Amino acid sequence: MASDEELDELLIATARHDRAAFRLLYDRTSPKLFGIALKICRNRAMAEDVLQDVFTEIWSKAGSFDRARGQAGGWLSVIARNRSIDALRRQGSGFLGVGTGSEEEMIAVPDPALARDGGVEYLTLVDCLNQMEARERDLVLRAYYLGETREDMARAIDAPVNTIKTWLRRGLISLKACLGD
Amino acid sequence: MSKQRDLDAAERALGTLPKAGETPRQKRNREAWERRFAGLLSPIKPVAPPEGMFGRITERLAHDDTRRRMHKANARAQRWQGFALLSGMAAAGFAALAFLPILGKTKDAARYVAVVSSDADGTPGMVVKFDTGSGLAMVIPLGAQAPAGKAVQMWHLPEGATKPISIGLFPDDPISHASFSAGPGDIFALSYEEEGGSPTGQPTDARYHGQIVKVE
Repeated sequence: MASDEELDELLIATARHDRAAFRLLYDRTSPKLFGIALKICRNRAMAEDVLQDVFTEIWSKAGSFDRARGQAGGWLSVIARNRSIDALRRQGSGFLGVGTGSEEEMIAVPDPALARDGGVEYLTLVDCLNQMEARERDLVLRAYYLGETREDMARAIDAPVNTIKTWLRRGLISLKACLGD
Repeated sequence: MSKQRDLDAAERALGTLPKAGETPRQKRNREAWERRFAGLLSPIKPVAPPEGMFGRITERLAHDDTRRRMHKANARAQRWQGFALLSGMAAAGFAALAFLPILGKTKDAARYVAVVSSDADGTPGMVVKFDTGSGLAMVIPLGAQAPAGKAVQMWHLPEGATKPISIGLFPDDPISHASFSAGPGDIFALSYEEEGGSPTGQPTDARYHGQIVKVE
């Protein structure tokens, strides 16, 4: 994606329904957002629909972006992730495309060397994930990348839903403590 | 913030608890967690979206925008119909609308009317009438006027279509027949164009909109 400041400005201009800014914002960010949709949806047609949803939402909700609370790149990426999860859940299970990554690959802790944006915060997050109990970390990552609910996870790893809840929340407590914010 | 509320916010960010019904504060707390997790998206490789995707997005935005305007116009049209019946059809536009069911009346036919009104102030610019029995479409020009050096062009967006179709320049005749069929959900519009009509085949500056409604 482009520089954080440029994206902030483009998003703020998009909030005023500046079409030229919206086009530039699309040019700068759509490959990243499409990459996110593809990774999570694991289906090209679904990811294309998600990308349309994402930019429709950006056009209508750009006004709610607050640069004091974070940068545009992250704000946009979160929309792409959330809409991808929504699309996955609408389709239900069994919709995954052929030749997509395995579940283990999907929920692997990202390699620190692969950081494309996010800088120190990203490295801290990876470090904290690596410090978590493996089973608790897996649940956080299953929810984040696979969009699984507590019930989905209970089925996937054959554990009671209440146990999932306990592990998940224990994991989140240790993650928050490690992140230290 | 209590630990419990913070964990709930984290779970809403993950999607393991629902977001519906959040208070503004709960939303802020969830968004804080979304920003923390956003680092997980950092290593994902960009992939070029397909050619034409931006065009699809802008078409959808235009379509959504037209739909929104139409719902407003539709509500106005329905109010006018009620008003016309009560008011003794004082205004010329309402009178034209009230007489429509008589024109081309056919047994068991459905009759549809669209009042195409100004986005700016709601004044009617044109009435479109379609009778499924006779297959007859009619256009009744009302108050729409183009600025100097411009022409008014009429457009029809059938339900489900993504692009409007020109149905010609605004006629001078008080009532004119037209060769299109219409049905529920169709939208009509008027745009300002260069003399002679839109150079692109699509509306340049649409100023009036109206959704067709069934009349008894």
